[in-house]
Amino acid sequence: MTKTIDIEQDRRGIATLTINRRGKLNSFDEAQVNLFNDKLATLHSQDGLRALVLQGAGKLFCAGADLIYLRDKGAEPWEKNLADAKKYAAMMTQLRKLKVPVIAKVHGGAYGGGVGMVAASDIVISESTSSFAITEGRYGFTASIMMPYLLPRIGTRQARRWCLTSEQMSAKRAFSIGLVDLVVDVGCLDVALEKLLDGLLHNGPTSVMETKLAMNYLSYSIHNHTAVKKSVIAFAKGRAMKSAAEGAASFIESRKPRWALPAISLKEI
Amino acid sequence: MAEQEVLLSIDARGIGTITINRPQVYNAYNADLLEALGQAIEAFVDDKHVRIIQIRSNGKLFQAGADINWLKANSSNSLEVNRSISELTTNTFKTLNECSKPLVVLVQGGCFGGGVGIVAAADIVISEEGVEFAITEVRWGLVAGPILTQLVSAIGLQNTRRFSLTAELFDANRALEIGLIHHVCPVGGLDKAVLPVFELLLRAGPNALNATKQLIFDATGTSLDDKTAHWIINQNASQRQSSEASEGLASFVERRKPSWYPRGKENDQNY
Repeated sequence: MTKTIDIEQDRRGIATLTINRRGKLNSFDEAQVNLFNDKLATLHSQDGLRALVLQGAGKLFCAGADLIYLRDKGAEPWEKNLADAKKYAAMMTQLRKLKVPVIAKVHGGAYGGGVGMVAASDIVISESTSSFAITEGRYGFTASIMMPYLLPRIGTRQARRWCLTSEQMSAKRAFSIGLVDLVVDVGCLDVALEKLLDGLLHNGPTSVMETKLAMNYLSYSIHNHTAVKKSVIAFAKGRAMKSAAEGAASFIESRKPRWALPAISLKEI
Repeated sequence: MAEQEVLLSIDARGIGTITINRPQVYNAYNADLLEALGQAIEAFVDDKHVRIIQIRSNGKLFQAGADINWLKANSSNSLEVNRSISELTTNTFKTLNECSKPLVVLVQGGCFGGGVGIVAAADIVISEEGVEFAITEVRWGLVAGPILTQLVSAIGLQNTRRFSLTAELFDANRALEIGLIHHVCPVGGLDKAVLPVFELLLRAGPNALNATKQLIFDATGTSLDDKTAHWIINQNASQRQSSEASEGLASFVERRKPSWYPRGKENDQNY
């Protein structure tokens, strides 16, 4: 069986986690969520770790949750649905609480939950051609798990627009609203990453960890466990809705969902 | 008599000026300077004649943060002494940040570590072009706890995450983009650039300004509460006493790379 998450650690203590589910646009299903959580827990307790680089294999960074997985979990009894939603949320919490800085390295694109991973990272580098979209609404789901991380990153004013419209945004736009910290030319991700890592490696390993801890403690939205709890409930509720089944079906059948009206021409008005 | 760490003056319009005056060490702060700074703010807040407070500094560089030699001398001291240093630092930054009168800060040359905290505590910041900023604490094995809450308020969580973890340099234009400062002026142009700011603040009702400032803190919940302050002080003191901090501070004094930097790497671009 091929590994769907690769982890490598170099002698400097830089770990690289590669999401590798290429046929499925690096999306997350139940097995992948569990695997990701296990890997992060292992990394967290690992000695000598200085930073984690998060990347996707193949064409893009990550397309978020696998819609089939979302739909199937939504159809399960509420308690089961909720228990699974907690695991999904744990991915973001673990990224945010990982003792060392997390650097997301984005190429191609990040969609849905992929944007959540980006938002939960400490530093985000993107190639100039990457695109971003908070696509949950487009498929009848609710964008929720990412909120405790997305809102402090881009602010409520920007979040209202991008979460509600599911529009696609360029890397440049993502930079200007604060979702991305650095935009580099195609092929230059590794150069930019090395420069950042070199800076990080100059800094005291414990003081970097303590600084991250202090920011997590002092920034109210993360400190606020209720926000995470509420986001889990909204996520579980969202995928149990009828619209989720229709949205997932529309995706599988490569058609528009029923609620998507055909474009109105001026003549009709 | 020793040179005064801060110089104070009040002009006829009601502008109280605090000039940080330790140019021989790039205006780095020790306990005396922090105490004098906190007392100056409190005195100006109490003084009816003062309507606006400005902080500037003498010499080439605005402020280099904490005096590393002072920190180094104290890091091997008792936990009690270290707690009192962290307490003084945290309280001084709280006094600056929550000062009830408008606070204007003028920046020249460079601004590092705690100096970025002074900037983040201000209502209005003007910087000369070309000024370099960096949140340098982690570079020396320290934690920027006493300035973190204001930094998050000033530049947002995402920028704080990046710049306080990497300790990288950023210039005045980048500082403007991320909202740390409000205006960039030519070198030597601070006095001229600040004039319209004073003019506008003097037109505003003094009580209305104070009430507006108070409301901003209340509405955003950004005043530093005792519990959080206590957490910051403890973390700050124990990290300063750690072996990592003593290595980091030694690497600064001896102008060498700290032991935690991977060996055999020739990339010296950050030095």
